[in-house]
Amino acid sequence: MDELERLRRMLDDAPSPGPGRKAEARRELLELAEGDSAEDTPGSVTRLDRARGTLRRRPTKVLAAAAAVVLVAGAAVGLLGGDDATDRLARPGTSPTPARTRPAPMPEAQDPTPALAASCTGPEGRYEIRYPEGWHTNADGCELFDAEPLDLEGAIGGRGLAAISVGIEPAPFDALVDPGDSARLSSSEERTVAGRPAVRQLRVSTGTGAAPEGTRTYVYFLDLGDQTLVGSTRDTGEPDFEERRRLLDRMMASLEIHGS
Amino acid sequence: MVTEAPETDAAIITRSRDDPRAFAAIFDRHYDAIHRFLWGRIGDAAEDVTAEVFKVAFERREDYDPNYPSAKPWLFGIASRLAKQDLRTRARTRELRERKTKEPDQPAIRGPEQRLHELALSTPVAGALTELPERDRDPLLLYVWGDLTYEEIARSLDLPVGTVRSRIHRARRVLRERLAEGTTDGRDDDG
Repeated sequence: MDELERLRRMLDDAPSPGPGRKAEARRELLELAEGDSAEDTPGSVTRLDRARGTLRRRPTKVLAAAAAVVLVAGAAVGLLGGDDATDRLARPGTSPTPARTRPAPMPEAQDPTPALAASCTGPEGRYEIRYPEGWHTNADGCELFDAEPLDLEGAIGGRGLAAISVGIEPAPFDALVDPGDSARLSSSEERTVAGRPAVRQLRVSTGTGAAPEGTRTYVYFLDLGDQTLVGSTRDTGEPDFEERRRLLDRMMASLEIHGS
Repeated sequence: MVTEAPETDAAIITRSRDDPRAFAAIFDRHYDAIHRFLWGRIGDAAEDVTAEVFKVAFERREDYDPNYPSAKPWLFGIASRLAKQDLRTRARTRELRERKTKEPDQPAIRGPEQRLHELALSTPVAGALTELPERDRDPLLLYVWGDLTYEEIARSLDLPVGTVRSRIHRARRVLRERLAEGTTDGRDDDG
């Protein structure tokens, strides 16, 4: 038997794909497809809004970047609290290191979202992500995404105001997934995104941070070792939060990470 | 009775740009093969990463070149990249955990070698695989486990065909030498 045959036989013990997990994977794929299909439904919100050149009306601006700062600051408070804080369970009821368990899935919204026909590369080429064609992103970062041109005035840290933000935070994963006192977790589930351990959460602000009490933030944390990729969208009280959640799901599904 | 040739992957992907649900056919055709390949590469995480492969592929279907009828090279290329990322991440996570808990050190086995190390406990050929540099091992595994042609591997890894040939040739030579040494030393031979 030559070396190739021996290599082939290494997979003799390969298990067949678990039917439950395979069916779940297929269902998740179809849910992504449902989001794409809905954009072509006559009269859909997305079709109307794209005709007007916006995803949705926005009487007030949203500090999505501020939300990211709140998330990081809230976790940093815990981090500065000392070993007790960092050694706390990173996610309620789970071990500090993400395990490959299968928690009850968060309900997926069946909202119409536009096709992700555009892509950009993040700072230092660390990641690549797709976003809706016709949307705007900050030219130097591929970190803020919105249907309208970004307003860079009056924002914390000079960042723009955007419906969805993605960025790499210089903090370890375990430190960020614990919201500390700034928010409570409405839901939290472990995922794999771009081949990395990740957690997807719906947080509700307690009012002790920058966000008003009751503000919902939908957020992904992706483990990059000493750093964490954070993708988020925040409920501004407008009717499109579920649509933006859906869009963030799809954008994160398109994510590719480069480098170690 | 005239039977129609099955629709090519390229045709399905093209159709899915207007009818996204059609992409499920790509999943149905290739899921098992991708899962099997990833099981060899990364073990128990194969189910999660296989699901990710098709999500990434779906989101990038606009980029697919319809001049290539089979999506296998494209899918296996995505799978290879995600597998490497998964292995490196888990190796790093393990490293961080060991540092935190101050557990006794095992020899530092990182990244893709970890999975092959696990398999090497029972298969000497996997032990030989760990000695191959990644640039030679990847095309070899796509050839043997992915059942891709040299041209398909070249597309998958974005390499010239000649480079694929030479790397697989070199990898096979090293494997033969290592396995011959193992037989000479009286080690278990799974042949």
